[in-house]
Amino acid sequence: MVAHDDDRDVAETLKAGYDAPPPRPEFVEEVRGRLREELAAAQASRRRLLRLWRYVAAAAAIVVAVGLGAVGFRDTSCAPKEPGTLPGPEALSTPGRPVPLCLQLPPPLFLCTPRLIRLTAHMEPYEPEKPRQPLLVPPGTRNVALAKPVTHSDATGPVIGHLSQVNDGEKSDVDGRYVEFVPMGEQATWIQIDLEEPCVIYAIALWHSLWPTVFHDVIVQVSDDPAFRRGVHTLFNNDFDNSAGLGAGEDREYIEDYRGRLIEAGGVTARYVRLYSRGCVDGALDRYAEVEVHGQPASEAMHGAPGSVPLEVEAPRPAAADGAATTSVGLAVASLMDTSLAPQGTGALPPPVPLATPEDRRGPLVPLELRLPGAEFGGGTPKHIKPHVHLEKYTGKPRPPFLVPEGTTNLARGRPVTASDAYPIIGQLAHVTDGEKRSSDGHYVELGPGTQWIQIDLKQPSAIYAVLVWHYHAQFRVYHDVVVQVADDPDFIENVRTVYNNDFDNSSGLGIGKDLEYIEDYRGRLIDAGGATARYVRLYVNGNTDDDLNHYVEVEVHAKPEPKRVPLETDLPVPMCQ
Amino acid sequence: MTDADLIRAVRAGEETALETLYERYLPSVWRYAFAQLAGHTSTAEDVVSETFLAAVRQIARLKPEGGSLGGWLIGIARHKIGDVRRRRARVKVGLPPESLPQEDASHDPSASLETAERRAQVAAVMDALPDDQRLALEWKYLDGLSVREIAHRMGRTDKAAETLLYRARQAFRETFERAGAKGTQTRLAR
Repeated sequence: MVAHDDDRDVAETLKAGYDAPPPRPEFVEEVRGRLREELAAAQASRRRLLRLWRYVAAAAAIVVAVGLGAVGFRDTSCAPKEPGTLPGPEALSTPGRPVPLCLQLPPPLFLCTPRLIRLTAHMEPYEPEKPRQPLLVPPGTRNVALAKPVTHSDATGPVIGHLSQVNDGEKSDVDGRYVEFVPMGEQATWIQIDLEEPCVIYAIALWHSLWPTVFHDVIVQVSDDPAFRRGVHTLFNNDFDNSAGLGAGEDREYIEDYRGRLIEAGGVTARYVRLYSRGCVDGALDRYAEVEVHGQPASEAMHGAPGSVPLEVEAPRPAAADGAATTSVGLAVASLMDTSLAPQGTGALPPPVPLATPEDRRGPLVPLELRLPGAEFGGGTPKHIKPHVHLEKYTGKPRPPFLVPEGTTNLARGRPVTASDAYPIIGQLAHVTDGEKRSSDGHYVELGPGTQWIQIDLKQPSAIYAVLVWHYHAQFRVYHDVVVQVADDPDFIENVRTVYNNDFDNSSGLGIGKDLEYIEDYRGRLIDAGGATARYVRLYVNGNTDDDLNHYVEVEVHAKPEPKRVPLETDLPVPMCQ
Repeated sequence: MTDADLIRAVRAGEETALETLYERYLPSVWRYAFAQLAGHTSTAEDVVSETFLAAVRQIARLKPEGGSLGGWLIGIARHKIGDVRRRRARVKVGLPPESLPQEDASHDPSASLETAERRAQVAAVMDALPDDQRLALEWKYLDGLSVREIAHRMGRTDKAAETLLYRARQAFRETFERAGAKGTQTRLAR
C-alpha cells in the first residue's frame, strides 16, 4: 500500500491481488442458456400455481353464487324494464322491431371489488353492480364469429390452448377453454377472425379473462381487407399513449370480469375482425376466453331480413384527438337495406404498423429485428427536463413493430464514418458503426459544441428503410436539432432528402423540422426512411440538455443494396468501325 | 436499469433483464469465487453456475428494495463455496492455482508464494467489506465503470456513489493494513 492521497494504491492492489482471468466463453454461454431455461421453467411453474389458485377460487365463487341464488347468468343489459324477468325467445324474434342484444354470460369468478389493481386515470372505475345499458339490435342478429377461422400475428402460436377456442362458444377461464399467448417481442399482438363473408356488425363482445385483470392497448378493428391495409375501422381503442402505434385511443382501460366487454359496432360492414392487446397487469401475456361478433351476413341484411329497420343507437362518438391516426366508428346506421350508408372507406385508417408507401417496399415485409443494449438508467419520470410542445412525451414503452422488406440489414455496420469535427474530444468515429450500443466509456464519440454532423458511406446506393440512432443514453437527455438526411453524393448537394428533422426553430439552418424532440434511452430513435435510395447518410445534432457537446454511440442504417444496373445493349459503347 | 428494476423485471419473466443481471454480476461473482477458491477454475465455474441458477429460482423471494442484488448473489456464492468445501474435503483453499495470471516472477517459488499470499489477503479484505463497497470498488477499478454508471446501477445519485467509493477505499485500506498486521493465515483459516 502506498500513499493515500489518491486512489492509485487501491486500484493497483485490486488489479494485482483480486482480478481474475475472464471465465471461458463456452462456460459463460452454457450458463446463459441454462439460466434462460430456468427462467422459462420458473414462469411456467408460476402460471401453474396461479391456475391452481384460480380453480380453487372459481369453485368457491360458484358455491357462493349458487348459494345466493345468483343463477341464470344472462346479461342484465337485455333485461326488460320490469325487474326479475328476462326476455324470452319470442322477444328476440318479433319481426320489425329492434330487440335488446342478450348475451349468455359465464358464472362470475369473483364477487368483490378487486383491490390489487390500482386504478389509473386511464382506467374506468369498476362498477359490477351497474347494469350495462341495453343495446338494441335487429332481430336475427347472432354471433356470426362462432367457429369461424382465427389467425394470430405471432407465428409461434399460443402457449396455452388453441386458436379455435377464441370463438368456440365457451366463455371459460379454466384450462383447455381459453387461448394464451406469450408474445416474443414487446409489441402489440393481434388475433383475427374471418367471418367468411361481409357481415353487418352491431356489437363485439370480448372476454380476455374472467379474472380481475386489465389488458393493455385493447384495440378492435374491422376491415374488408385481411391485411388491414384499407377500409379499416377502429371500434375500440384504449391505447391512450399510442404505445401500440395505431393511434392514441380515447376509450378507457377496464377491469375484466365475467360480463366481458361489449363494444358497439354501429352496423359497420366488414368481413374481418382484428383484436389487439399488449399484455396485462399480470405480465406479458395475451389471453382470449371468447370473442363474439354480433351481426348478420350483409347478403341477408340486403335481402330484407326481418328486422331491417332503423336502429336506435348512440350518437357518433367524437373522433380521437389524433384524427389522422385513429377514428372511432360509432356511426348511426340509417337503414340496413341501404348498405351504402355504412362507412366504406371513409375515415380509413393508416395500416396497422408504420410503413412507407407500399410501392417503395420490395419483397415481403417482415418485422425489423433490432438488438438493443440494456437500459442504462432506471426509467421513471425525467424531472429535470421540462415538457414543451416540441418534446415528445416519454413513456418508456416498447416501440411497435416496424415492417421492412425481407433481407433488409444494417448496411452501416463497419462502414467508414466522417464528421464535421475531424478531431473528436472523446472516442473515435469508428464507434458509430462498431455495433456497440452501450453508452459506457469507450463506446461513444464526443464531438465539439455547436451543430455537428457525422456521415456514413454505405458504399453503394441502397434502399433505406430505417435509420436508428443512439446518442448518449445513460441518463435522461434530449439532443437538439436532430436532422437526418440521405443523399447520392458525399457533399450532400445532389438529391438530398431529409428523413427526420426536429429543429423546430431552424437554429441549425437546415429548415424548420416538424418532428418532435425526444428523450434518449436504450432503444435509440427509429426513423422511417421510407425506402429512400441513397448512398450517404448524414446525421446532424446541436448539443443536448446537459451540455453543448454532441455524442453518438451508434447509428444503424437498415437498408437493401440496390441491384446493380445491367447495361442495356443500347447503353454499350458502339465499336468504332475502322 | 437499477438493481430494483432488474429484480422486478426478472420476476416478471423478462429474459432481457435476466441477461442484464447476468452480464452485470458475472464478473463480480466469478472474481469472488475465483479468489475464494484460490484460482481453482473448474470449481469456480461450478460455484458460479450454481449461484446464478439458485438466484433465478429464488428471485421471487427477493424484495426489490430489500438490499443489494450483488450482495445477495455473493451471499449465495459464499454458501455454495461452503458447500463445496464441505463436500470435497480435498478441495481446500490454498490449492495450487491453475489459472492465476502468470507474472514475471512465476518461476521463482518464493515469489509465487508471496503472490498467492497477497491474493489471499486481498480476497479476505474484499470479503470483509460491505457488499456495496466491494461492488463499487470492483466496478470502478476492475471493470472500469465511471462513477455515474455505478450510481445508475445502484440507483443512487452521482454524489452518493462518489461518497460510497471514498468510504470503500478508506475501508479497504484500513482492513488491508489490519489484516496485514494480524497475518493473513488466521483470517483465511475460518
